[in-house]
Amino acid sequence: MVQQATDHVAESLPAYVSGTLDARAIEAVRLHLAGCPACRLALDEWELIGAALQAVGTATPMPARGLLDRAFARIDAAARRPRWHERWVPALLKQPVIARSLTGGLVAALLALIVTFTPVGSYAQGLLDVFQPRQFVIVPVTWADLRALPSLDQYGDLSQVSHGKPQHLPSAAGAAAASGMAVLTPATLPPSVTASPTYGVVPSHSATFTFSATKARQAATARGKHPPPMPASIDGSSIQMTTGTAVIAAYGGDPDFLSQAEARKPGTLGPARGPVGGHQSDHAALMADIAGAIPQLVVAQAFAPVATSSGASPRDLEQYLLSQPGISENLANAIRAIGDPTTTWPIPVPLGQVNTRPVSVQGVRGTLFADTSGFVTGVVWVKAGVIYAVGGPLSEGEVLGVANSLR
Amino acid sequence: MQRAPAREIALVSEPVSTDEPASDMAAVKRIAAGDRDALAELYAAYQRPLFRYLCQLTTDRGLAEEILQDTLVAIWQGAASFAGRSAVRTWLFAIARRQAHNTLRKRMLPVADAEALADPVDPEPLPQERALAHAEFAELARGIAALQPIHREVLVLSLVNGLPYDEIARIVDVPEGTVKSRLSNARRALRAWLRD
Repeated sequence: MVQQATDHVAESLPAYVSGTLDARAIEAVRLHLAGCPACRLALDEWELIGAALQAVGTATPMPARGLLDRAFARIDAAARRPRWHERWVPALLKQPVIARSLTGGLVAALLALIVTFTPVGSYAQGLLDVFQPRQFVIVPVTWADLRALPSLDQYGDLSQVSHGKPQHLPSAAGAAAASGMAVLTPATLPPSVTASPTYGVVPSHSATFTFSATKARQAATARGKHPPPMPASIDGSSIQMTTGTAVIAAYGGDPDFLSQAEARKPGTLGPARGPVGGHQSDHAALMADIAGAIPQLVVAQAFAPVATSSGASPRDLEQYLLSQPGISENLANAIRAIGDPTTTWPIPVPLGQVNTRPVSVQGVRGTLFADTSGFVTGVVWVKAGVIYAVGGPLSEGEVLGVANSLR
Repeated sequence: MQRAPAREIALVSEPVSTDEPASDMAAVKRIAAGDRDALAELYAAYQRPLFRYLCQLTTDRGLAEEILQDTLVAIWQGAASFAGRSAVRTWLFAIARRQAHNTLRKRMLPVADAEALADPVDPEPLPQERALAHAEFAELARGIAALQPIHREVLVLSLVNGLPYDEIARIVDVPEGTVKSRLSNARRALRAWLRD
């Protein structure tokens, strides 16, 4: 097609000069230039600008030598800084629910990340009428989402009952006897897993949450917010959630880490926003402990939790939840996408910090997690009413190999 | 397919091949797997274009080096999540730009942002005079240095780094039409500067 003389090619000229037009566009520009003095003038200018820029560019020296080495030094330093999981564990420990129910044992390191004790998880579980997870769904969240969520105690009262104390046992047989579960063990281990396992049995734990319209109103007023009032169908209704007995096998690591960390100084176990003032040495010591405490492999299994609601329907709860301030559009969509809330367990995953993908494991669908630094990989799946998780500082192949060899 | 005709006009840029070198993608995958040599290779290939670009976003060379270092760290950390939806080159420039923005914002320095544009966009008048043609090279270079970062940036990406408009659009995160109008406005601004 021949270009009209009035149809100037001015905006194509920089690309023409830089050689990034395709053959057809080059032809069109040339045809036009042949009959258009104005665009030829513009081309002259672009060539001059290009030449001047090239001269400036050529005059730009190479970046300083050693820049790459300095970048690697920073990468190494970043690797020594606490990774997200190292920041999460202390943060989760600070949660009274975790601190009380998971005292002792290295259990939190893996399970606490997966078990949804975070606010999102608590809410999502609060949606359920009768809840027994048969599958997982990943709910990507941002730190902003989590920070913006009000805490559960602004909506009612939580009471908890623990059924017994955690125990440490030296063998799978002992763990099976203490838990009443068939404890699966891996038939094959990756070469990096050299330690013998120690077993922890965490008894089941119940929590009852009772909604209170009065409390919700007071909390909202105190924060200067005016969310829609709690519907009468929800006010006074309660949700009871019972987590199942869990057995955790940790290969290596320091099984007493959690109890020691708690004894050290409760209250300093905050999320690592960067060491500040007097907390610096505590923080550094804690992080060093965590690094040494991470086991080579963790294999966990637990009876799936059950939740029941005394009155409110899942639909009532979902609508009310989504009307609350602080629920971002992203989070609301993720919650709506959960599908059947009575069988699906939402797992909040921090955006950009954890990669997840569906995998086939033990003949069922599971979810593979890997932190973006490539340090920790884990897989989680549900089979016959039992939740299984395998994880550690291992490759995807190694983690799946262990998971598929569980007998 | 037809063969591209030989270009009559001497190209002033160093065009980067529009075909993505397969080795770039392979290097990113190796970086994701923790291979330091791969980052060194990618750096060897791109240090010059990236540094030139950064030197146009900030006149402080030391700061540009610092941002390049930040860029390397970000490449290392982000390689695993690079999905290959854009060319590796586009991804690298976009990371460099993001790092530059973060650093410049923190230091309250001007960034290449639409908010930084002082003058509204007018329709391009047809060139009537050889305003630029009479300019000395050194003068032109000073004029380029005096441009808004948002203008200088697209000039460098197009004419120094030889990137096509669609890639520039992805790096700068604006529609392709905006890239074209920014280029056009950059020329107008340069003419205005030279006239004053």
